[in-house]
Amino acid sequence: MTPLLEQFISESRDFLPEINEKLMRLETEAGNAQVMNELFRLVHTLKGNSGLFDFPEMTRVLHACEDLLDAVRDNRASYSESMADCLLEAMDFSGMLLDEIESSEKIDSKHARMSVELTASLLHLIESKQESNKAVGLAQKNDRSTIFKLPNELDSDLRKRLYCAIVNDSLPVVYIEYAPESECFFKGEDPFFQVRQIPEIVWRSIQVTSPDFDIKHIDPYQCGLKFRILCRAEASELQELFRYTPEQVKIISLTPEDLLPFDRIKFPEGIQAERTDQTLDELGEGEVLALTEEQTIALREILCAQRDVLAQADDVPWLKGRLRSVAVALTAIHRALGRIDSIPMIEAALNDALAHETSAPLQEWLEKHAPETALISTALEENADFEPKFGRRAEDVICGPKTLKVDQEKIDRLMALIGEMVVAKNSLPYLALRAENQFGSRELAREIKTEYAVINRIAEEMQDAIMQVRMLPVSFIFQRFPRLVRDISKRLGKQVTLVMEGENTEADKNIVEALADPLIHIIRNSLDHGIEKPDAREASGKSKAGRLTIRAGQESDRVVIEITDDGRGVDPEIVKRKAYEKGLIDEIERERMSDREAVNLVFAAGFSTAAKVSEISGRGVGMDVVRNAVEKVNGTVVMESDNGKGTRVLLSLPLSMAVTNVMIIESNNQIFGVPMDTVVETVRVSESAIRVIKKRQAAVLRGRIVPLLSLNRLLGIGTRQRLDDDNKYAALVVRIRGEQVGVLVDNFHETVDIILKPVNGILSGLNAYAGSALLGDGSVLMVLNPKELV
Amino acid sequence: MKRILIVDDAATVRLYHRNIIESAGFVADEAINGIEALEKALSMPFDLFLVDINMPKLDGYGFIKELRSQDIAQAPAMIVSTEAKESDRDKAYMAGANLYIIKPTKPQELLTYIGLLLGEEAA
Repeated sequence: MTPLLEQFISESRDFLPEINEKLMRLETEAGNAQVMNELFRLVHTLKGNSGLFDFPEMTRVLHACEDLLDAVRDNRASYSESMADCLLEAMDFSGMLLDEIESSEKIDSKHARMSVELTASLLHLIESKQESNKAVGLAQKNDRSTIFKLPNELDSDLRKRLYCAIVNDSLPVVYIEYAPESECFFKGEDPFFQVRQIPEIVWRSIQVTSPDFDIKHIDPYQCGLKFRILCRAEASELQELFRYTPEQVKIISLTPEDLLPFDRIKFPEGIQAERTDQTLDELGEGEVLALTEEQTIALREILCAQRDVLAQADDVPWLKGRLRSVAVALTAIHRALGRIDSIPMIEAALNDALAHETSAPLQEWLEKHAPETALISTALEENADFEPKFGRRAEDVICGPKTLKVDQEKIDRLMALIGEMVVAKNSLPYLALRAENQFGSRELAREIKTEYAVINRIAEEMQDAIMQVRMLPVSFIFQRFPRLVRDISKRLGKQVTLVMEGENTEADKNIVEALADPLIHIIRNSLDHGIEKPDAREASGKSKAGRLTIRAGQESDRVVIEITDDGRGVDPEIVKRKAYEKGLIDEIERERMSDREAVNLVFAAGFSTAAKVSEISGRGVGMDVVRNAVEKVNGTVVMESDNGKGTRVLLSLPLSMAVTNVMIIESNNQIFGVPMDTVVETVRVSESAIRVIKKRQAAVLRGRIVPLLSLNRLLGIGTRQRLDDDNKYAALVVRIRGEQVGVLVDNFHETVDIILKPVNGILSGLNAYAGSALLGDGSVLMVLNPKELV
Repeated sequence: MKRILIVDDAATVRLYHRNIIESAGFVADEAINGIEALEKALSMPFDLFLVDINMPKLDGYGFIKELRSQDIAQAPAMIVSTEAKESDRDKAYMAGANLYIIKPTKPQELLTYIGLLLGEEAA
């Protein structure tokens, strides 16, 4: 993929959500001109960008969006919800095309149909109001807007003759390009007759338009021709002639410049008489510089442009600057053509113009000398005196952009490198130990330790800095919610006000990305099951529109996200009954369970309160999907509900998951890591304190009964856990889904910071392990996943 | 070395123009709106301006108008726009632009204009 295409994709991805946001904002503040202009600019830019590539499907739709917005801006159409729907759909379509471009660098032609349909429906929204203006619009249609090139076959002699006709006799010369549509015979049109009606034809040509024309397979009922005609009639007369088929014809009044170049500038007698002596002299010795066709066109364009600039009103404060710039442009093209002798004349004309504050002197000079002089090259020596003055010269400050866009891969690489460095640095304490024990040099050991402290500090800071780079505001996913809430509530016939707070809260990119799906699921649930229909809300004394609040914030090293609605809430009794019916809880649990616990049963696997599967939230999966997704990134989710008044879902996630603090434990002569965020405490339990309750081992710790499990047993290792010298077991108390469990191990070791790498390959199926990490001495540490293990 | 300032709010367009300009051995600099472009034009000389119309803060017309009225630079300014309306063209010339061309432009086409407006030997 070329950098240009990459840039296009990344920029477009920035634009789309902004456009969507503005489209929705306009629904509530339709008259906001600033938002409208901003929106127009974004769509316009996006369209312009797509036009740089060969993505007609995308450009077409965006162009229609732009036209539609332009119509709204000019009050030719009024903004409505259905219009917003249509525009949003167009943006979705563009987003989809972008995905495709990103993956395959092109757009499949199968989207052409959709693109055309979308375009039609967009344009339809303007047309209804515009029908009456259409006729006027066509009459004023200007065919000169793009670079215009006369047919190549036009011979030099004819060009000259016509040139003279315009210049000397001020006769109009009009170029007509008429491409009848292929079905024209069925509409009662007769292109040949039409063309014969054109008066004063001086040149004409007929072309076959279909590229693979074959006389054997010709379809006589289809017109595949293009007529090109030069005539001396007035353009208005021709417009009248073609008034029934204006979209099939281009009518262009020619200027003398359009007829250039002749291959050699040698004017017939008539024209020379009109010229000044000076020009004649120049023409006499002039040779035409060998310009390419492209250059000739460009030259003509630039000359015409300067003429047009000079033709603008004089009474503006910036006139002098404008005149100077015209002079600079004229000087440049004359220099480009090697006509350095003209430069002093331009300068003189400019000075004259500046002195009288009028364009006239430059205009006169241009009329007299250009473009003829411009096309002639003479070999005069370089005139070095003329140096255009450019504004004030100051120190060359180049201010680059304040933010950089960096490929995620590059940051991941940095992350991996710092991970390796952390590991490498951890080998220094081992080295110090060896220096002392093996080589008996205490001093060296101390020095190594000092160095280690320095490197350790730098490494930690660096790690922190890189982690900062990976931080992303949650607005990254929050920005999709207005659209989501709008679309869903509309489909459900509910009114919902969405309030979002703390969108600037930052967290690691992986965490933020992991949040998206659970949040969407929770929002869907709130809209579908929580918030009631307007009439039901009114009946229970609430406002018609429901309120959904999504609030993000940081609490120490965790991101907390709260989703609150003021809907009907969750009835703990119903939840309990359902859970009991589904066999998720037994009779005793049902009796004992608090309302709070009951509400959280919705997160249990296989639980779904919706009576029937709905399009919005029930796809056979319940809130357990949310819990699993959140727990995967070491997060927790809790639901609180006030029956009849609303529901609150609390998500808590770590800020970053790049570095994990683990405790090293030993069992059966192997070491394992246990993530510290699950560890509650480490205790020693004497053998005698262990009791058997319901066939399971347990012990009373701090006044609570904690079940005990042997790690060897959990891992399928046959040996018993080792007792220490005091006949006590080492028990690691971990918290799993709010409950404490004691895991018996052989011994505890220190805690270390590690970069946890997921287990790959055939081992990836082992859920008991959260991943592996490299230790300072080069050995591999397997990190346990207590949630899956127990 | 001829310096050209690209003034466009679309990063894609800026990159596209930069590639073309640099391929011909000119130096390209970028500004993302009229204000930034004015600041750049004040701090260093440019030989040509490639200007978009629709930009936030200060649009192309406004930028060129400032350029001409404050006499910041006399170098030619070329509007590269997607609008093909005659009124836009007139507005550009009124402001003091020296050329108005329609996007998208083919690299060779754009270079021809640039070469001529910079006074580079044509043949």
